[in-house]
Amino acid sequence: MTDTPSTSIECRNVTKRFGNTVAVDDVSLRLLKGRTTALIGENGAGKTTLMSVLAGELQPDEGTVIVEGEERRFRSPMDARRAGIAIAHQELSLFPDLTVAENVALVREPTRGLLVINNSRLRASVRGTLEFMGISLDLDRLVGELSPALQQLVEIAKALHSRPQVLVLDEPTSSLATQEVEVLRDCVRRLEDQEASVVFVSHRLDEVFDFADNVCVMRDGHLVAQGPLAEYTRDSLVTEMVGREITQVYPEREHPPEDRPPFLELSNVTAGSVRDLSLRLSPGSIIGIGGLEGQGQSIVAEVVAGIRQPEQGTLRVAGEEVRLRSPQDALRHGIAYVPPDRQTSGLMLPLSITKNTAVSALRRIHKLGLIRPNRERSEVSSVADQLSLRYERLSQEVGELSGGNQQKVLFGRWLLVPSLKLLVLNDPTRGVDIGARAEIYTLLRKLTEEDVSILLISTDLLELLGLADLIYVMYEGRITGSVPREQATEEEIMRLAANPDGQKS
Amino acid sequence: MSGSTLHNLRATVPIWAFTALLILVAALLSPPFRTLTNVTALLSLAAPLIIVATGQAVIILMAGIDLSVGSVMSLATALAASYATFGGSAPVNTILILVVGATIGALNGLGVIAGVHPLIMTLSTYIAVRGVALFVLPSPGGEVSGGLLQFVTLQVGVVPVFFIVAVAIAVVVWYATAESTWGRRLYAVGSNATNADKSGVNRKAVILVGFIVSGLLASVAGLALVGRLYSGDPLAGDPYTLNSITAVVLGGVALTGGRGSIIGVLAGALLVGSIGNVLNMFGVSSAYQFIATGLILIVALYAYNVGVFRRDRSAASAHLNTGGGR
Amino acid sequence: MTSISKALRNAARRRDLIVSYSLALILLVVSGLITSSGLQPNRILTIFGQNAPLGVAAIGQTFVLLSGGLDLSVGPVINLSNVVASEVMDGQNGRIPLAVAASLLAAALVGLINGVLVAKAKINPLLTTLAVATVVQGVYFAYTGGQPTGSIAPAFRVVSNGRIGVIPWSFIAWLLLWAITAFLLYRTVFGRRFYAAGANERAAWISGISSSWYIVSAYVASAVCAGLAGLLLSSYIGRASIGVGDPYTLISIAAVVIGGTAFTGGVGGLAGTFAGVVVMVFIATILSTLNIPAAAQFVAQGVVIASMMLLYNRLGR
Repeated sequence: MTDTPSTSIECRNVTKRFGNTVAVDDVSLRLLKGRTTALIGENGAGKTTLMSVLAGELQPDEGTVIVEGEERRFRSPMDARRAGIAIAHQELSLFPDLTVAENVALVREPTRGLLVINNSRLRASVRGTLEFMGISLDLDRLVGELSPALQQLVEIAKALHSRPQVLVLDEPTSSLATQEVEVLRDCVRRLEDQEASVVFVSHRLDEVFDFADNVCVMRDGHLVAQGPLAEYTRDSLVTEMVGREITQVYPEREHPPEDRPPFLELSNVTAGSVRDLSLRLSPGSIIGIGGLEGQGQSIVAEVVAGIRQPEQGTLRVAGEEVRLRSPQDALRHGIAYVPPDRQTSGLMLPLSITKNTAVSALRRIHKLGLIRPNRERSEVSSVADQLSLRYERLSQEVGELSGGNQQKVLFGRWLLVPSLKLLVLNDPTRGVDIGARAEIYTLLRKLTEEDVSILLISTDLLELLGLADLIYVMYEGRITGSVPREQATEEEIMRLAANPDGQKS
Repeated sequence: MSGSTLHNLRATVPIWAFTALLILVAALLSPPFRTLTNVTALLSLAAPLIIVATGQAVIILMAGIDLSVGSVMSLATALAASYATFGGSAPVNTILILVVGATIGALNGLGVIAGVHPLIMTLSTYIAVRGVALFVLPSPGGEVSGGLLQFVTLQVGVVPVFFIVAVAIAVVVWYATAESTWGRRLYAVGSNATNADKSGVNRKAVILVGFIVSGLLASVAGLALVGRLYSGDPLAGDPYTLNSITAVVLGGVALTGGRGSIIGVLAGALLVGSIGNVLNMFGVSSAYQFIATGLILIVALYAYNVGVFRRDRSAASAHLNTGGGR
Repeated sequence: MTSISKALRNAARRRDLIVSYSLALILLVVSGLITSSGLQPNRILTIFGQNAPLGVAAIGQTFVLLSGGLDLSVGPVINLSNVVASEVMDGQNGRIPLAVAASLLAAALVGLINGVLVAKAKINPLLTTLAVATVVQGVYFAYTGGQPTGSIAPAFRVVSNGRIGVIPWSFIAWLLLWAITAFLLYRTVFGRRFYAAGANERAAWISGISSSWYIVSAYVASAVCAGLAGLLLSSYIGRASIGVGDPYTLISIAAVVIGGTAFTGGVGGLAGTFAGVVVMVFIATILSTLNIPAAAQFVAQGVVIASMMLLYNRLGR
């Protein structure tokens, strides 16, 4: 590494809007050769959007990208790739029906003649990339059959394959166990030695201090801090990320949870990759499930929500053993689900806010099966006010709302169901801005005070630490530990989550 | 050969086995089936279907569908039967037919690129081209040029030349989809169009080329059909739309795209062709053949769904990390 | 009153309805201008009466598109209904109720099969309905041997011949069906749940709706409407005529799509379909008045469908 590193790439005054939302607001940052810059910020801060602009996947509304002193407009990802920029995406860009080698080499296949792929050279080049990364994988496995961790490594290999000068890693470690993270760190060091610039997008502060030399903090689309990492502490970074007192975001609990018989009990449940899992949920409390991505947390949520049937084991709701064969069944017991992919499984995008919000309470709102539009509108309107929903008209298509407001509509749906006893949340604040998140957290607190329980599945450690009374941590389908609020720290959770040799139960 | 090609080929074993079994059983149980005349009839029946199914497979592999193939085939026969007005000579007439097919395909492709759903776009073309075919040749008949007729009815011993042409086309297109850069991008677009964009695939080019290939092959299939009809027929291609889709689905190509092999579709087309032939052998009237074809498709779809469903299930739990679903 | 004015205000925001109704109106007027006494109510009402079968079939098809699917068995079900009605009625007035019931029941059965295959076995709607259509065709071909028997009772022919004042019975039947289905879709809980299930089956299921049964109901509705269309057609032609329903499959889909209902589901509705039917009908009327051969009608239909889709895309619908 040189002592006075030069700039490899720069964003100047980049702004990107989606409809009425400004995702990235006048951001200027500079990447240095041979250095790793961490880009941190909460969900919805604009990190991924900014990186998409850098990688040519989105066009900025204002501002430019400057590569080696030259202003550039990337019209497509290929453009950016040719300029030496590559990105390993947070939401993987892989194809499950193609092999590891084919995925890594996609669009850069060596050819015999003009069109026919030269398979032996392809495999050799992919092997070379994997060697540089310091990993070895079966080139001929279909990517769809790999574990989430290996898939993430393939995504990174794919970005590395073009030998970029600027490598963006967007949440590269969300599925990786400790050894794999170390392998990645060594790889990043090697890249730095070759004078490449690396952007490390993450909200794992421990890793940030491990990987990066410089840091950029984003909040609500703005770049609020930039500079050498040495000038910051972990706490100062959190303050910059969150922008206000942490207690303002995660409301304090007013009444401590009493010791009562559990509302929900899972005993020895086996389903898919989940093995022999037991947990319990007290009424009026928030139980979190954390861990690396893809360890079976969603399966647990789906079992509780009635979406998936356990192959073995039992569920007990309010002491009674139940079989939940559908979400309808679960609703009859007061259990409701907010799925992680709000656009594909949560919302009916072409329908209005009113229709989306009222959909689970139709029988109650409209007596005798006949629509009473006024009553419906007033109930939805009052719920929208409760949630501080930002909208133009209630008859507006839900697809036009921002991510945070869409998520609020999903919450609003369950607020209209008076018999609600347990709300299962799966990644509820992904892509939601800080303002909306604070409002949602306040809502959750209020619900617990009304004796509603919450099962919160999240990869956002701050969220779990801020809200949950008890955090279960999962690894490979099993619970590796449970940490009560008083003892919960980021280190403890990560230890249970990413140290597979430690705690197999 | 690339890894996914091998996977996809291995998956075609069941359909080949089933087709071979069906033909074997029919040959054992029915003496008329075994005759050389019938072999020729069967191969001649299969040729247009193999060609049009290959084109349809290209579209379905990229998660689209082409409903216009039947009309394009009909139009090809209509143009061939009016060669005097269209081209005047066999070579010019043939080239014209191929160009027309490719152009219709290009129109489909452009419409899809402009944002019209492939089903609706090819439905519109299906209707419009049907009109054009009826305009060119209002009723079956017409006169096909002698040169063309000679070529499309040529036989090498028992085997119609066009059958060999059909198999050759299937193999060439298979190789292109399995081992060329275009083919790799085709599978990528069909597998996940968004990820294809992120990976730098030129989606528009892939779509346009795909539809041109389908239109072109539908024309060629129409020429093969002329070899059976000895004339033109503005509606003769209609059953081929459903039959081509059936052949593709039976051949193991998922309607959702990105998976399957054209070698499987070759088996599927042979299967569909054989079923018609076999039912004839057993004296099943055309009405009952309709029933049989429909039921077979439903059963096949159900079986594939149950099987595919299971495969999707396990792929989902090993799943592709979509950053939220786990 | 306020709900009607509100409905009109909401409709005005629906640019696709403005486009489709404008086109419909233009075509209607043009068709009147190119023929003498063209704009007389009597002529226009007659045309609506004659095309009531299409209007009715398109209503059913709307349900299926709203559910996110497609019904390619409409034509064969119309044929089936026509054959069954003819056979059962056998020219006798007294057997009309039985024949009507038998027709609709047969149609409903086909719809149920379609619905269960699509919603429960999760088979692609295009292929399912196409395959079922093939089977249905085989069934009535086999049953009638290509020569259907029986005839339509004279009293039943009133439906196509008769009028109340100037309005043909068949048109009234069409409007009545529109009113009933519109009530069902827009003013009942059933309709709300139906739209939700059509817009996103999984999301609706997670919200506590048995969405698969709503999808099934769409196909039953479509088949019953096709059966009704078959009855109207039977009244018109007076006997069984195999193949009479064939053109209706594609044209019903075209009408619904032109009317702005997308088959991604959950978008559009019956109002647009009415405009779509008018568009298709008056294109054909204009072309036949101008003595343009039927072949060109197909070309015109295809061009109109594709153009409307591109236009709707531009409008952002």
